[in-house]
Amino acid sequence: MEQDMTAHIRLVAQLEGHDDRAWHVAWNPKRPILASCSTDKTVRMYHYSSNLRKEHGGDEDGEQMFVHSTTIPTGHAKTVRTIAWSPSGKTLATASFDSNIGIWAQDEDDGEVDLAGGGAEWECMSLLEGHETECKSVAYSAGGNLLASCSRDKTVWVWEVHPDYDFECMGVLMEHSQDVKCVAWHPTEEILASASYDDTIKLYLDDPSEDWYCFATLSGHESTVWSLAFSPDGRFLASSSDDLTVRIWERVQEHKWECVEVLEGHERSIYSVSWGRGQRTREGSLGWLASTGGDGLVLIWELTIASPAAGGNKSTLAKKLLARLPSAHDVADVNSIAWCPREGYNDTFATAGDDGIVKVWKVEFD
Amino acid sequence: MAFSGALTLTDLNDFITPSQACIKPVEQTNRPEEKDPGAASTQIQVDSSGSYYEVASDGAKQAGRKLETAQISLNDCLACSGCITSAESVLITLQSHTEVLNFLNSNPPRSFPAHKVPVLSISPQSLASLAASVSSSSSHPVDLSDILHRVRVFCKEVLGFEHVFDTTFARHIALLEHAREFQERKRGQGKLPMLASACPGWICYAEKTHAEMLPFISQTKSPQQVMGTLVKQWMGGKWGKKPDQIYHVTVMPCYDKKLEASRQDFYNEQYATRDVDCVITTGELELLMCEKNWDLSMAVGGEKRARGASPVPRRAPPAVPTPGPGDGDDEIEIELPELIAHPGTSSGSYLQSVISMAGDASSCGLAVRTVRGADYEEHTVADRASGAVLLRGAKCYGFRNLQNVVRKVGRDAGVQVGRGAAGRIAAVRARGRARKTGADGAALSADRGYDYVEVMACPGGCVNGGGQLRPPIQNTDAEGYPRDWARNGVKLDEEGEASAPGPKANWGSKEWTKKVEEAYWGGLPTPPPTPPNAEPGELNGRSLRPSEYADRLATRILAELCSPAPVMAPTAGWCSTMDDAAEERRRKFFRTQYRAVESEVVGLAVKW
Repeated sequence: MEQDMTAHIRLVAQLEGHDDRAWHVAWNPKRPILASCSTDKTVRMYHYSSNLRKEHGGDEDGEQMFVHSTTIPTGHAKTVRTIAWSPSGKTLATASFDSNIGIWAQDEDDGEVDLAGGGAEWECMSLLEGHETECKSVAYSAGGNLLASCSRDKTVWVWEVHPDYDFECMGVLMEHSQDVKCVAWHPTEEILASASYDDTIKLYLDDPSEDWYCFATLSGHESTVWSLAFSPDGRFLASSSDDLTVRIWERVQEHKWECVEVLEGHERSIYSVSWGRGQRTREGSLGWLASTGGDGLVLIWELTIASPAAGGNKSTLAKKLLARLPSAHDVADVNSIAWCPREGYNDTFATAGDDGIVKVWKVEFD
Repeated sequence: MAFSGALTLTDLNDFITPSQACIKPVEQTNRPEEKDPGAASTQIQVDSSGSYYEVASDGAKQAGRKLETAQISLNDCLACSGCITSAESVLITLQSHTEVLNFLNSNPPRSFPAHKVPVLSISPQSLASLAASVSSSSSHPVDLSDILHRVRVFCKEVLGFEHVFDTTFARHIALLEHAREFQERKRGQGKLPMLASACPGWICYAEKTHAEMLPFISQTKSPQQVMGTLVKQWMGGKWGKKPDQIYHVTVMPCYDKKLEASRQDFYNEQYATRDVDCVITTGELELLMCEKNWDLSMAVGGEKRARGASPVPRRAPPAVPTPGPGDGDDEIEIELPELIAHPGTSSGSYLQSVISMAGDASSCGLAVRTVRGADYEEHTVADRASGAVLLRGAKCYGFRNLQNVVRKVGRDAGVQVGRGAAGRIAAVRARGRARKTGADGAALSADRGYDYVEVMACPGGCVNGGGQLRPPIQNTDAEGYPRDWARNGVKLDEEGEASAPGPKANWGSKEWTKKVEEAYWGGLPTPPPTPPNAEPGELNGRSLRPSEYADRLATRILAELCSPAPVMAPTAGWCSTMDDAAEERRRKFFRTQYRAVESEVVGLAVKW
């Protein structure tokens, strides 16, 4: 197994401003905006300029490239735990411990909407209620027509996005026996995954003639599953857990997923994983997987298919630890990690920590 | 969440589960005496019998004081928005089939003054569940009247009930009052859309999480509670019994009916008794029959008489109360119209009762649009000539659809949906609304809000209630059932389900619900357009159709209970307006009210 690290992680920006724990970071998929949320009930947005791409110019002034553009004082009564951008980049969803989900957008009639997220004010266009207790996670489907949320009330809800910020509840899934920590959508199909304190991952589909239903339960983690990330090609799913492992699950059949790889290296709960395309794409490359958690450690793995699946058998993956960054937020826990999904930023990711700080990083090869 | 956990017993994924934390605070009634601040406190010890004792922590010699065991009563559960750590056990111990048996065993003989008249009322959905279950395991299909007859014989001869009724006549009254209430609201006395109130799960949920919906919810009592009024007030009057001298048991398809029966509104302070003393589910009735070795699939004598008979009793109950001479032995045998079929839905036909009033069938057309599955349908009554929409209603079952109705009603009515925290997001923009107002008139009327929504918490409605019988076990061996399934054109997957998981996983329940639905309508797969039982009955020497007979009897009961002054005209109907005092009594007997339950579910401080 290759473990020799060939890359290092460089701090690009350190963004302070939250008055309390920063829980989550989300890159706008279409516009140069990075958003973060916090126990302080606000969402902060930062605009970044494209000269970030000037590989060897102005890098020293990295911090200057991220400019705070606006703060939404959401009005949520409790912590904003997770934020999610719609694929169009026009709408932001906030999942709060007050059990509600806020849907935010800029009123295009009210004035110029600039790329930076400044300009017209971000307004709460809709409020999705239904969860009984803390809402933990929210996610838009790839097509942007569905929104999923999950909560400590053990339920996963699927909402259909209608015009004019109207939402219809399509399903309330009560499959988990405990707190549901995370929901994630498949990158191309309408497959929903959820991760729970009950140590399992559940996968759901819509039966057009009936309701949403759970078609698979992935067991293997020995403790809480905190976070989920599909591979960019949709053939794999990564899950991170309190059992200090990241597991990689492969879609071996239409409705069947099996664990093909276990990544280790963390010493505390792994709170967050993100699976990006990575940069040095080569034959069989699945992209880069970033993980972080209670130990403050960031690990970047490059995953490659060593021998592809055949006849319903699992693939064999090759894993290579590209880079390792301890104490990313000093002694603070790191709650969230996210690759920038925009073209040309495949080497850039952001983290949010208990220190209330959001940091932007870049993977650079030695 | 607010519904009892029993609902989750089926495989369907649209039920509501109980939430995790019971927030009922433990009230310490025996507080320790004043003590020095900072002094050693006391400890709680448990002795071998399981009792709790408070003792000084330094192991003082004084005898520990016995502590009261913390108890959760049904009323606590009603008042608690967090729902119920072990809702089922609480419910089942307080209102269970063993409770019924305990009562019957301890009920003194009729000659004793302390004797209570045991009365049992069974819902048609429960009868349908029993009928479907019996039919599936025997070669002779049975209908609801067979089942009612067998249940009656069992309850009277084996258990010792003195009167057994079905609740369809009570439902008939509920539908009359319900229609009257809808007319009131149409006239501006109250808000529209009106939302059905017969589902206690929905009521519980609305009171706890959607207080803004309460003004829309029909205040008419549910059939169960109308039956409670009939039994304890009207029949009690006829029998010369006070409400606390009657023990009223209902058999319901739903656990949450237990919660409904124990609402404060249905408690008679004067006599310290409830209109319905104990609610058992269909499953618990089956359990009772099991324990007493009663085989419901066996026919009992007199059944065919019941089958061919008119639902209208030959003898109408006497108009004047004639209390017995004191020994209570010769109660009047009151017969109510039985198994009145109300066309519409198997959950009580509430929407249909409103639709049938909307306009003359000859000039109006009804359009039904399926929004998503059979559990969410829109019914629009429009004038055929002008196309004008006279009524827009919806049938909406299951938790998911209920969410959407709450959102839609809130939006259309312009009320803020939701609980505390929601209000703090000051300005949720109403763009959608603003845009729609600008649309042209035709589009507006097509999208006009509902006038009425029949809301039920269970997917499939009451025939699929949480208290209904489980479907018979589907054997994979060649014996018995597979033949039945195959006959229905249903292919069974011979391969292991694990390798091909899919929507088949919850197929069994839905298929079973369909069978119960069929049994409910007497073997017809869909509700008949008109009541099938159109045999004439007799009242005051005149021949009447069953529903007319039921209308007349209902009006008479109204007059007897409310004693209007002046006396109601013989031609008066249920909707006639009486004097103020009598109308006040009508409200007391046939309406109820709802109140928001303040929820401050904090839970444990959750950090993650």
